[in-house]
Amino acid sequence: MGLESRGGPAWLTTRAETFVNWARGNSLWPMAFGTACCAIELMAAMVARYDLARFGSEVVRFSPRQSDLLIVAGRISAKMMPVLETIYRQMPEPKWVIAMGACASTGGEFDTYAVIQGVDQFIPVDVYVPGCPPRPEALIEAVMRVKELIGRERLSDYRAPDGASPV
Amino acid sequence: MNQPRADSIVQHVRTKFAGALRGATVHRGELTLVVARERVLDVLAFLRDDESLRFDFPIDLAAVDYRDHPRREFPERFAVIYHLLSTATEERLRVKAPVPEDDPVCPSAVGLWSLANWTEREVFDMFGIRFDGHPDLRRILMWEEFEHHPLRKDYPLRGLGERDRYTVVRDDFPQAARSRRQEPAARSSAERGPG
Ligand code: SF4
Repeated sequence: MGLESRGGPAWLTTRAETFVNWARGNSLWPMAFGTACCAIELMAAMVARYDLARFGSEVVRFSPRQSDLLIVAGRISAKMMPVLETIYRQMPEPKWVIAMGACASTGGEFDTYAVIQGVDQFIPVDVYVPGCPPRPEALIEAVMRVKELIGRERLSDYRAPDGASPV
Repeated sequence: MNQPRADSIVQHVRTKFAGALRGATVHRGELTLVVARERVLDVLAFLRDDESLRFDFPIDLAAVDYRDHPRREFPERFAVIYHLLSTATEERLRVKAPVPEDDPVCPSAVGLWSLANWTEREVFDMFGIRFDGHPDLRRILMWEEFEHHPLRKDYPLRGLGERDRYTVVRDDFPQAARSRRQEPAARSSAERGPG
């Protein structure tokens, strides 16, 4: 296009939206909500051997206000659900949620009085990871899927409280 | 623990608490005493303090619901069970205090061992057995509003709907963005977007 032909290979034109999505998708800050065995695989995905940092998601924030990807790893008891809900609410928009493992997705083998039968009954989940526990590769695949979802974001979907569009 | 030692402990307790000792069994070297709940604190204090016994460490305090149990040792539905260890002789001992269903109360052992505090709260939470004299008998595992005692055998495994009765988070996410996310996954790299 015009600018590129005039500025040479150092120039690239794109849409603001695409650029924002590209930046977002490559700097996801996960909020790790690990309550059971799945969290061990989550840790394995973070550290050297699988190294989620290769995809820009190494900054695990144990503060929901600084993160945009909630990874629910483990079973959630009915007593823990209010905590998870609070953390979900504290995360700034836009945010994504991964339900990692059978327990977070469906309750898994714990079909009992105390365990929530899938967190998607109560908070919106974007990507489910099957497995008990899922291997680190599966979690990485889920993060790739989240990136894919981020690619679909349209800035015009979001509006300021006064109704103004960001673009 | 061998049989002669078990017999001598039983004899020792029986001479002191003739009426309170309702039974004693040795199974695979494990001695179990069944004690009337009215005297269980006296028996526990004796087991703890007696020079020749010194069962001074309460490893665990639990309960059992014997409803529908095929081989019940006593008519009461519940029993509070104390597992003791002697740090002097390294012997172990189990004490059962039967508790009837219509009056599920047992004296609290917090005065003997403060370790009993949280374990008694757990028994209360799970079985609904109240502990007389406990300083702070609240639920410890289930949330405060929970109404039942889930380890009772007549409570269904899947509960009575408590796990579904949680209020759903209002999804105030922009609807257009939400539905865009829920479209089927695009598998072609052209559709994948930046990344
Ligand atoms: S899905 Fe399996 S590994 Fe993961 S939390 Fe549940 S039981 Fe543990």
